[in-house]
Amino acid sequence: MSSSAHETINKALADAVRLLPSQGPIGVFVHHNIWEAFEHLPFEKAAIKASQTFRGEPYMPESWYREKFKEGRIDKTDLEAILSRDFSEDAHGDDLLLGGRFSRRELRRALLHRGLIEPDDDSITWQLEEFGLLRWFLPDLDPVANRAVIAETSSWLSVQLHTHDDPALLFRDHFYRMDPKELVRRWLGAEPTAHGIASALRSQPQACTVASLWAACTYRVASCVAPRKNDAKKNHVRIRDLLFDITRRDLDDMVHEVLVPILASFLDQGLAYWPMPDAALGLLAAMQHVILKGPHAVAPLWHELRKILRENNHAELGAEASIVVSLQAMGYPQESWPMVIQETALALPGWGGMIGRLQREPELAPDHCPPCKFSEFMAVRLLFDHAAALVLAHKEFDHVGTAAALWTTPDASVLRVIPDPRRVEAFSLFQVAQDLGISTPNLLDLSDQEIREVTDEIRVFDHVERRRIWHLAFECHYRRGILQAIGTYRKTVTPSLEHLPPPRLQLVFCIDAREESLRRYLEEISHDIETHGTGGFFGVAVAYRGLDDGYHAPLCPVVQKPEHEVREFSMEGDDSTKQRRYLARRRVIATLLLNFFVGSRGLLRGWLATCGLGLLAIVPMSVRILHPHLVSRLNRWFQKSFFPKPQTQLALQRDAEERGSLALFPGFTSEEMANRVERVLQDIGLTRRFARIISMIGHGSSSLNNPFESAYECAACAGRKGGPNARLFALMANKQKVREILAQRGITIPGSTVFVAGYHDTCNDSISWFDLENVPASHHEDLAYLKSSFDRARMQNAHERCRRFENVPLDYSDEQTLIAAEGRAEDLAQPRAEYGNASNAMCVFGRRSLTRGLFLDRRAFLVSYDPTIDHDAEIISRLLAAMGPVGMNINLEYGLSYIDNERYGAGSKLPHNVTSLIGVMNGPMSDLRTGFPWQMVEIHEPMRLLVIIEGTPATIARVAERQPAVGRAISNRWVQLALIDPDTGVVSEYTHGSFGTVSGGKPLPSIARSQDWYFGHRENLGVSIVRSAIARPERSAGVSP
Amino acid sequence: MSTEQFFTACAITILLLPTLAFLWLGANLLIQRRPSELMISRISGTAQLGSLLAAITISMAMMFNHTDQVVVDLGAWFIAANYEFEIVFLIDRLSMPFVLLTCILTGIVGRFSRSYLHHESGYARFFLLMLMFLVGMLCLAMGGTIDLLFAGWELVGLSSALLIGFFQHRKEPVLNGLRTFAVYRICDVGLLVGAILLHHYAHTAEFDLVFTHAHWPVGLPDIPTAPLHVIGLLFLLAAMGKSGQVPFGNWLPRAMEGPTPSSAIFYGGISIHAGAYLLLRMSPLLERSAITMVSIVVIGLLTAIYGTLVGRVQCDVKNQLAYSAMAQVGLIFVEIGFGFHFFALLHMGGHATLRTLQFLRSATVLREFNRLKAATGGSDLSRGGGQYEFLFPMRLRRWLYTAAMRGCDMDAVVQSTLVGPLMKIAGSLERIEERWAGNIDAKRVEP
Repeated sequence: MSSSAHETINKALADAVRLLPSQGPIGVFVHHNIWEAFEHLPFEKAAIKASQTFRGEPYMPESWYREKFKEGRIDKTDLEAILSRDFSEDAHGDDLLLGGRFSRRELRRALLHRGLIEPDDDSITWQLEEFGLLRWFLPDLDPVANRAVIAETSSWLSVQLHTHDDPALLFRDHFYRMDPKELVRRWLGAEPTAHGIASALRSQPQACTVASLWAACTYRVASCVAPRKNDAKKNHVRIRDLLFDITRRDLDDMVHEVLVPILASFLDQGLAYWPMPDAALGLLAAMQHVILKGPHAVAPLWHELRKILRENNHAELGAEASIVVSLQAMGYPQESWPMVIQETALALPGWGGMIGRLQREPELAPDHCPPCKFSEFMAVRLLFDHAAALVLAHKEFDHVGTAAALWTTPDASVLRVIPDPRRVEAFSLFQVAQDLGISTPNLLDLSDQEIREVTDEIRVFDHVERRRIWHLAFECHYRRGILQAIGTYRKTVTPSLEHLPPPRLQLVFCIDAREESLRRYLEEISHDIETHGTGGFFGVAVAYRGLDDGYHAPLCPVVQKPEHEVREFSMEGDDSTKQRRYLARRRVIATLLLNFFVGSRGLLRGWLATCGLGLLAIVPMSVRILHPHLVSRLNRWFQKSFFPKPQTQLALQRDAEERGSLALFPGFTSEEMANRVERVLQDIGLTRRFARIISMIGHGSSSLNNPFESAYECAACAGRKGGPNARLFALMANKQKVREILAQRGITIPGSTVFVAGYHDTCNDSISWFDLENVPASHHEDLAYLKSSFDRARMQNAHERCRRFENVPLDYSDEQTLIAAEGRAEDLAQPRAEYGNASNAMCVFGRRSLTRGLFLDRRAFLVSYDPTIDHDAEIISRLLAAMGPVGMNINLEYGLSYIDNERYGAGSKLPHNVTSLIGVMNGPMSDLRTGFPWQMVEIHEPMRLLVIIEGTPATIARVAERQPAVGRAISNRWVQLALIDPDTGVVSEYTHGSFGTVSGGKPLPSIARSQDWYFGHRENLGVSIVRSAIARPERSAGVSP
Repeated sequence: MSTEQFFTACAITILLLPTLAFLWLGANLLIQRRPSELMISRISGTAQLGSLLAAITISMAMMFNHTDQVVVDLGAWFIAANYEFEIVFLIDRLSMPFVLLTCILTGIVGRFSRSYLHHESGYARFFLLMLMFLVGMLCLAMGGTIDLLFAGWELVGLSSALLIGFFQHRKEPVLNGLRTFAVYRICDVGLLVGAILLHHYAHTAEFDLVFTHAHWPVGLPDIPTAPLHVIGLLFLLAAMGKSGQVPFGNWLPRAMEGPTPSSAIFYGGISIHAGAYLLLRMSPLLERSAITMVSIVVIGLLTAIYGTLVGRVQCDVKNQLAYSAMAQVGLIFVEIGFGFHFFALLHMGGHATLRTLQFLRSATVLREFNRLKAATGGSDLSRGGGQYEFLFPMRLRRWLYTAAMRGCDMDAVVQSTLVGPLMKIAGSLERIEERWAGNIDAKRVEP
């Protein structure tokens, strides 16, 4: 193989794999930006490019936005603002069209509100006749204007009827090779004579007007718009495209049916009873062995594959050489290779992406990782394509010979010719003319140049462009609303709490949007409770192994690699009888269950199981399905009675320097602990005014029968539960030695302050606490207060959350909804255990005082950040670098999964089938489904994350310097950026390279408690002031009642 | 009320309630009205519960009365020349357990679907098809004539194919639904021809009369031996198709395209056992044909081995369950072939119940494996294949692996010998029809 070919292949492979979803195994859900490969482009350009590459949608359909317009979620001013901005960047500006009859803006406005029916050439006739478009005006036009047009056209027509030799020609379709007389009969139901048409004009003037307008449109477009060059042949990149056009059979279907089981078996993490032999040799070799062994093949594809592999030992050739051989065998010229490889990769993006991801990070595999190479995947895929092409061509048109010869087969030359696009343009003009009240004589009077201007304008302003404008207007409306609300509210609050005495409780949560409501409810309880938000791993990146875990799992954002490991063991010691007994009991039960799992699927053990125990299954099944809540209680009781978990401790302190068995440091030194505590305290601006109890609350989520469970867990803990991180942090911060070091660094935590760790399950809204026995007696009263506050808040939180679930009645009490929430978590039949971060829309970096007392509808990631202690934008830089990408990826993954759920998301959950323990397929065989299923995103609203930072443009400039990736995301507008000046409180937004002040806004509605605002509502709600949650009641001035 | 009237009332209730619910929902959809989700699930749930209660009542009454068999004769629906379509229900020790099983499992799956399909655009359609399935299954189980059984059989087949194609916007479900339907059609020929022959030789369609009033599983059909073999083998053909036996079994994994609850009730639970039920129902007749009995055992054994072999390489939950269900039903065939009627019935019940549960909770496998793995100390417990495999040399094991991966080419064979030709015939019929339609619609305009 020549080195240039080698290079081409390697580069093409690298480019192709970047396009594929990088999600990784589903058990540890990694949020990813589906359009990641286009992040170097400005968002709007990327949307077009990505939608073309992935053949997905760039935005929502126009009808969706029009619906929002009706609901008042977009208004005229938003649209006008976007249009104006576009014209300001356009060389033509807002020119006048059609000799000053109307402006481009008017045309665009009309197109936005009405949209265009844009059928392909084949179905225009059908559209015209089916919807009576040649009989009546389009619906919803101004009747007065219509009457004027009818009058004008009628008088013109009656003159023409007498002067024209063949009046039927007035109704001729100039793209339609058909007798105009026939058309008159069909369209007007009249005889094609002057007399017949005249009587039609009297009896049905509207039909005559519209039909003549259509004739005029086709005439003008045919006469003055030059026919654009048609490629006689469509561009076939892959041999699959060619064969599809010849045979209408999809080669990919044939290939996937055989290839997918092989890929799944190769990646299998232990679900199959027989593991794939030779998987350790890599995909190419393993596949070759499987194909070549075994009995004589009857299935044609297997037969052909065996022939190809016998001719040439591809496993020995190596992946790259094999790719070249296959590409040449299929007759692709070398210059098309990159495109072929890209398109081939995109034919099965889920599986290819999984192999690509595991190649980069084999440790993501839950059990063991076979040697994954994307190049081998491509080599295998191309082998299959080659074989399938031969099989299909032979079967459909008796092709004998090589696959390369297919490109020159006679069938390939008689492919569909792309029809004249001008008839479609005439159809668009026809609609626009009606919309703007242009009559037939008007249209005929226009100059060729004027017609061209209009058709060009319509062509440029296509549906993608219209949807872009709608989308920007939708974002703009929401953004303005939020910024004005926050700006107005900022005027009434003092952001600094310096002058106040320390509160009784300070609670530190993850930034997760789901914690926003819980925080609000805690703050509603008392002014003596303050909350903060920071990344849910609390700065403690650690490989953790709990007592119940089989192995160490990294608990930190995926981009980080933990350097330390911590184990949980029984209070009595690692080797205590209590712990041993506990583990042994669990092992026995687990072995039994596992044997039943495997055995019941086998033959003889399955026979025993089904005959002997089968009928008993009716009990767990009916109870589980009829009474999920009862089962969960029974389960807990069973666990407690027979498997009481011993009290545990963590091996935290390390004094030695060397790494342990996993090449990780076992535990932390005091210095390391102090570093972590200091950093988090600085991040959230909690360096003075310490409360008596400071509580770190990690979060996670458990739900049954849900392969996407991990996607609901803490993203900052790499899709796992964040409880251990909170526990570690509290243990660290309580250490005397750590506090001494911190004091030397200027952070003096008083002796009266105790750190407590908790864990919040966002699915059933339960709270559990760690190491409470370490809390001194002096703090027991505060601890009781902490617990009772949480018990109240979590119930209210469940109530607010459940308003989103249509099968939970709106008038349920707090207690009832809590039970409903608990039931959902344990319900086998529940595809929506919770909604996760769906509906997320903004991310605030700033002091809590800016948002405390605002109802943000669980749509905000709240990051605590104090600009007054941040010198030279150091803290905000690291905060943005750590949490910016996570927030953005979560937001884009929800947004894109909503926009095109089949293409970017995982489709409906209902037919999902867990495969290889790494992902889900649809039914028995399909691509690996990545992204979110519809049931997770259905309440989302796609818009780019609105990042609000308490800072100045100078801060941002400094951040962009320090963190180029963050700077790029901002300047390419993958997030929307807004600033609140820390001193003046002035709000400004970043649009197209500059900051503009946002002012105005109505006074905010104000309610006593959150429930007053959302009660009875299921939809997304606007911002309001919750009086009971405001930091200090005496400062609630300036609020309209 | 006399005992007879009581049984008649109960039997009618069992069948009538789901039928009414089905008609109500169907009529609503027909006039483009969509009842609310709550309404749909309540009405179908009530109908299912009502059927179940009626079935329990009958079973209790039979037990206390020490009655083995009740024939509920509602007279003829219509009479054409020499043919009478009798509405007769047979309530005996075979049909009642099956009716109970059907009612319980569809009831539970219906309750499951209520929240599982919430917000799905095809919610009403799903319940409609599920009710249709229930009506079909009850008709099949209680039918006292081969004609009623056939009617139920077809309803089950149709609802099954339509539920496989539930997600109409994707092409795979539709194609696989069609594929399943094609296999059903081929095998249903067996039931149809068998029924006609039974009519011909036994001069009646009523099981009670065919088996000369003997109580199941005993019966003395008065049919000459030669046709007996033919009828037996034809019924076996029908049963093989419906129960996914070799060589027709490959529609079974393809049928996993539908929503999980439908996979559970059809291919884990009830529908897959319909073939076995047919064999049990006809067993007094089949047992007089040694060829048939041997064939049943052979087919069952082959299927059990095939399902086990192919199941061993499957690495996704639903395919695993599909193949293991296939294998167990194979064993049930073997049991029937050996004449263990009641044991086969027990096996059927146990298998249907357990498999339904396993299907319904198939998505928990990730969490389960993680937990079990953790509890067993992270050991490499997932590696199977340590049972009998060590008896074989490595070469043979690899050979078997490939054979299993290819599904022993059974798909290709059936495709090329049966389904392909059938589709070709259908295709040419369609073309003929199109030509005819073209001739009629002479005004069609060529652009």
